[in-house]
Amino acid sequence: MSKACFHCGDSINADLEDSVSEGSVSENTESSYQIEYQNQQYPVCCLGCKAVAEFIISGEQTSNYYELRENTGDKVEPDLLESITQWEFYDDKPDFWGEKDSSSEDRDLYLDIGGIHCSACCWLIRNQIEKLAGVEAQSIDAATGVAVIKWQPEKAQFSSILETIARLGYRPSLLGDKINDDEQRNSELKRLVVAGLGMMQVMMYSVALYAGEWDGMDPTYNKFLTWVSLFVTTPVLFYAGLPFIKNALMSIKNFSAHMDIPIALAICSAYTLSCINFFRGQGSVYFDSVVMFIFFISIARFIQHRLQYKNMKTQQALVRMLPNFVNKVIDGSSSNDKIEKTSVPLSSIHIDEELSIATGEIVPVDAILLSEHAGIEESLLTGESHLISKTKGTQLSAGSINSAQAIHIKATSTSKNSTLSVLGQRLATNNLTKNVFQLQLARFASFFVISVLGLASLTLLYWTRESQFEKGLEAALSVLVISCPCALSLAIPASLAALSHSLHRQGMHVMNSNALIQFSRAKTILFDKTGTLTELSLSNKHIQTQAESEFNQQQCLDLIVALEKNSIHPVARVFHSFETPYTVDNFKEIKGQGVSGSINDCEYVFAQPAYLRTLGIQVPEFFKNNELHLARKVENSHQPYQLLANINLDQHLRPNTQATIKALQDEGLDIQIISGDRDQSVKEVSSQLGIENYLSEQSSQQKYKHIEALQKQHIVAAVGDGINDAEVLNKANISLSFTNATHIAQASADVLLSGQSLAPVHQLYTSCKKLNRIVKTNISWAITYNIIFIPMAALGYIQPWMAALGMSLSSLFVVLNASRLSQIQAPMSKTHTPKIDNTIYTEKVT
Amino acid sequence: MNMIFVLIILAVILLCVAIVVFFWAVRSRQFDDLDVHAYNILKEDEYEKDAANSSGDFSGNKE
Repeated sequence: MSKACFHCGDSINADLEDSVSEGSVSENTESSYQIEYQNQQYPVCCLGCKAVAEFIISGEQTSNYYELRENTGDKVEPDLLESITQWEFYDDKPDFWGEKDSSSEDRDLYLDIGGIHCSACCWLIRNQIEKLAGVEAQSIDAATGVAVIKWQPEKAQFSSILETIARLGYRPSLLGDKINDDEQRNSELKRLVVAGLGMMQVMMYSVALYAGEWDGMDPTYNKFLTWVSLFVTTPVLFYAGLPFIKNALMSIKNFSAHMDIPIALAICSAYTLSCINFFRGQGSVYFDSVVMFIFFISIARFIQHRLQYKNMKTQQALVRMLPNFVNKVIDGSSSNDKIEKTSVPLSSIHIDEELSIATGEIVPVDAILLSEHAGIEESLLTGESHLISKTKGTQLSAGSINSAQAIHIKATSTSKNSTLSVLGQRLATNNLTKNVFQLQLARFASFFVISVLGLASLTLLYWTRESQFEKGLEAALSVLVISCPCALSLAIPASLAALSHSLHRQGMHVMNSNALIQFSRAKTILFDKTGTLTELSLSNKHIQTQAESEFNQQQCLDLIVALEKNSIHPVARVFHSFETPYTVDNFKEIKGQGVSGSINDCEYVFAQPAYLRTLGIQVPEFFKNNELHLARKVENSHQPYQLLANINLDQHLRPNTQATIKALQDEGLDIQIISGDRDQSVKEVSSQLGIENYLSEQSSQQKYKHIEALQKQHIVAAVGDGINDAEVLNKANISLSFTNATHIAQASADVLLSGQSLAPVHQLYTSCKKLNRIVKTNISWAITYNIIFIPMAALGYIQPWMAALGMSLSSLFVVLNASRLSQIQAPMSKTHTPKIDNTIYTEKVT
Repeated sequence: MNMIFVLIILAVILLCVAIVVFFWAVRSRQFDDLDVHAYNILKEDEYEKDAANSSGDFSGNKE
């Protein structure tokens, strides 16, 4: 039985630990971590998670975080905890402290916090930082991870705020630019409420006025009620309706036909006409139509802007990938191992400054290598995840990963104009071209606007020629109001908002909702292999000790964990969650084949059989290359090395992969695998899944070309998780990634799936099909409605108030129809909630 | 029936009051973070006490 980590929900390999403890060395069981919560012991997976969980539980007000959260936390890498104190660097640099308040010394600090999953996370962060004196969290957005924190420099310390957040297991980084739209949202909210309250009042008076027209009414009352209507309508028009008027004026200036022109024209002319009619004492007034119209349009705008804001998150992910701090070398003499270094923020690095990069770190700027040798992986830039050896004086690109020993470099660019930033800009422009669909919509809208304006003036012309100018004005007004593009413009955003919301509850986070429309029209889905379809894992059956060796399973595992600790190869990550008592000297990584190093003055190798054979070790032929061997160098023996153990790390499919692929194929989709991995292993996986089309050993560029070619024929979806999938994900019409994928893949994806299972892919596909059906009914409804009612309005059969009502009802129909999408139920949403939460919760309730 | 003049003017005044109150609520940032407050009800009651003597368990860098 495998257990889940109390904090991050990762599975802890219980099989392995049990079997090891059954073995000879029983005291080793304490290497698995435990945490006590409400008098019960729960397992945690690693040191980082343990530290964070202890910190959270020990806080009196935060201890119920584990009951409140909706999703499990991020896995906490121990190096995150080490980096906590680095924030002290900023304590004497007020430039970084956030925007100064105009009136006081208070600062508004904008942070991007990585690792926020649900509102319980926001609550936890808020709770902890507000314990610091003079610190107030103004808003923490669960969807975007953007936090606004107000703090007083004289009372609080800058670093203490960031340290508190980091200690909770989140990854804070400074946001240079203010990307918060609170102000805009607030002013929209205020306009909406003014319009809504005003509408209720004016409608009330109009009912009385209409009733008076039928039954007769004392002219004094009539006049009084109209006066009050005018009094209420005026601020509604000039406060709530102001954005529409402004937009209309702007677009007239630019000679473009914006949706707001007929809106502004309708509200302004209806208002003016009503005022004239009122003061000269004859003709009808349309104040009710004006306010109703403004209110409904404001609602539509509000929904639309909320949606757009959510999409801004995508632009921030590149910031998260680079480290906040780098080690700058102070002592210029790069002569020997004694190098004086200090931790400084990345943004403060200038050209020609020297940096020290530890094993596994990203090279943050373009640089020249100063160390004699280096092993670099450029998978981020080229898609090849091979170790490339570099010698002194060669150029390193920002974004490459230092995979071998620690190195020493000299910067040739700042972090703003490095290769990586350029890559980021390329991704950003790709994002722009992706919204072609919206452009089409905008073009259609301007066509619609021009025809409505034309129709209205034709109507006016027609009635003027019949010498009924006043009736003509009224009819033209009805045309403007009834044809309001409201239903049409709401048709798609409302459906997308409803679907995004229901997907979010099912653990699918929509980053770019426009892409959802494309999914149901896709003909091909491209899957990456490693990390997307398959995972690597380790279980006890796969450690086999050699009969003649004096090491048992646990000791072998400890040795392997120690060796793999410094490697960032996918294989090594499997071992990173284990603890080891050993430390390694002379660590070396053997290009994609294994690692070596010396422990307690004895040299060990952990590598593929092919490599071991080159060392002269006799590894039986039946071992395949995915069976890694641990060997020890021995002297005074006929063999140079002694084999200690072999481990079979097999790649296995993600849960539900087979069923999902089958279901997608049954929908008539063409499923393809496109992977950077070796031909043989890709072949194996694709035959297992019944996938005919697969491409192996593809670089990032080849993948990109492939998808480009496919897109000439039809719409393509892509699923991936790696850094080398980023461009494919960006190019695809709709792309899916996982919440535990690399940051850059997440940034490029339109939808992020949480959890291990692949089943949501099919779920999403069926939901998107439903979305398309609903969008289609919505649009056809809006068009039918316009075709029927515009002529009627032009012929004078519809009063402006009826037009406003009809417009509102039609918008209501569209919104209600769209809201059917939010009722889609997840067949397996329960699987995402960790078991532990439920039990605690039910205990509380009963 | 003349009462209607008083009542309607009263209604308009109340409308203005409602709008002013709402504007105040927006300005005092009550609408900035709508998610977190749902959780506050589940919290222990000591919050105010703790905030008053400002002695949380994580008081590391407080001055």
